[in-house]
Amino acid sequence: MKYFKHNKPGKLSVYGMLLLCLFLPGLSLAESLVVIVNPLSPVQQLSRSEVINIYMGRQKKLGQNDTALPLDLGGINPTKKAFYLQLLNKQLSEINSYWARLMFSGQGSPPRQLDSVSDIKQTIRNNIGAIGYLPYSEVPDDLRIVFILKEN
Amino acid sequence: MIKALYLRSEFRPLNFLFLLALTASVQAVELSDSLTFHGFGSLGFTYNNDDDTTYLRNIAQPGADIDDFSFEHDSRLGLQLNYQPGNNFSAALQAVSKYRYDRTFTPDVSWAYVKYNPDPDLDLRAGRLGLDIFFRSDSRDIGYSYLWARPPVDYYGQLNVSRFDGLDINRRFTVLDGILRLKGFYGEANEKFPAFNDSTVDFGGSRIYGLLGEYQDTNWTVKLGVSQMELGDEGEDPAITELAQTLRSLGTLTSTPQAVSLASDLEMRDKNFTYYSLGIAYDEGPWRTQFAISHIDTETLVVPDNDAAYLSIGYNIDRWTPYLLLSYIKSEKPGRTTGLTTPPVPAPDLALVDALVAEAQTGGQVDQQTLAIGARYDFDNNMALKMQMDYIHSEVNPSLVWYVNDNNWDGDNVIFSVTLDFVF
Repeated sequence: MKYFKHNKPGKLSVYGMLLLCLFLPGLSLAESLVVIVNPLSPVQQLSRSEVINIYMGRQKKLGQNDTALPLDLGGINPTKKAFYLQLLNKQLSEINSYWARLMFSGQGSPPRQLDSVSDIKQTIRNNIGAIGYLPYSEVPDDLRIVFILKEN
Repeated sequence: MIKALYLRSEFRPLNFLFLLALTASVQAVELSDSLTFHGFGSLGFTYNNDDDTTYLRNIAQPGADIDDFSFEHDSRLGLQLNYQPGNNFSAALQAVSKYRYDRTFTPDVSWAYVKYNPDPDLDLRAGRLGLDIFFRSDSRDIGYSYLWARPPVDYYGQLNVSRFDGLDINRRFTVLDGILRLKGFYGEANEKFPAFNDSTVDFGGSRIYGLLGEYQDTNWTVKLGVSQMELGDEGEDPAITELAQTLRSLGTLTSTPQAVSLASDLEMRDKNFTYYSLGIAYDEGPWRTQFAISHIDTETLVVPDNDAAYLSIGYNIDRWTPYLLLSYIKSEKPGRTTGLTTPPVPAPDLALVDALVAEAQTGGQVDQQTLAIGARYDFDNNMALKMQMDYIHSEVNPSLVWYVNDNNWDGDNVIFSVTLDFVF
């Protein structure tokens, strides 16, 4: 735990973005979705296109060395729906359609589908290459925020 | 034993429907941490407004037994097992049932490979792999993955080969904000197709290889490909073999080199097909746009060179995505003649030979344009209903992508389609 605290500056590095969110009308920071990684990951910050490339299975690495393990909330979940709407302005059915093509033509598998927010947190704690998304209000201190989603 | 085999091959639509109903209710199944079971399927009905013509989705489909109201064009079912014990190694097995050359729905193994990743950005695959020579040609059976009732026939309909046994290599690079993927593949075809007069042509043993480059960023995909297929000894329509032999002996008997060279230009064995393709997709927000062009260069007059293209524009509004699809294909019209004038003794009917030569060259021609409008309705998270209307104008009769039973065919047809697609 001490080690994680030591890494907290990673979260600070996106404070600028957080502040920006505060000033956006109609957008409460607590409800913003954020992308999080394991604090041991060398990745401090990701761009929107990097998050898209990882979640769409195009970029297979997180940072220089780690195999990216993107995580999704399974089924029809409002947080998941909001994530893809804010990231790509796409409906979940189109995301499923995209993955159907890739999976059944052997190009890759969709992000691992997990049942709950706590499963996402735990899986990120256990995997250095894992990457997930949560509402800001649910982010625990021991995980690092690397990107804040805003509506397109 | 023989009877059992016979029964198995008599895979009728009703059984197929039952299987579809059974699988449609299934969720993706996690058999263990590393083994998962998935599937995809389409239940598609088409209506062709001209019952003297048989529409084809693809030249791998036989024209026989397809009515003007048909279930055979677009219905298919695929099941897939994925095995992923770790980050560096995975394997997949996929079988697909669709209406094939022998007029049955007998399932075929469409994919069966092992994949090794020495690095996350490098994939090596070996086994049975889908043929990736046109923009989206390795996912033509996965109805749920595209907007339309079927991939544009003017573009993908001329590709009969769908898979090969061999290997491929994929390497990814980060370039600007996107990912560049380079791919090479090499293998042998293993499929049979319908040919003239109910015969079958076997492409088994034909070598296929190619190089592809694809760049993808947030909204854009651009993909370029050059591939070649070398038909083996088997890749010959028996009717063409016979015609070529006749021409060759007549040409030799009458000292007509034109007939001898025509014989070898008609033959398919040991000939090369070269495929060039460029595909572009733009998928920003609600837009789903695709554009692709291709050129095929062949060494046989039986399948003349052709150019094809399509443009598809879709716009998503909540659960509905209306779309417009424009496509065309135009082949060369060789029109070569035998040069035979004096019939040798004993005299064969030169008029008949001329007719067969003309038929051999026109059977592979295709020159048509299609305007399709339709809508996809995503009524569930992994199911979609599609309705589509195709207005097709064919400039030639006969045409590679039609079976026509009417010498006065005007070439104008309308195809109505309703398709239910799902994945699990």
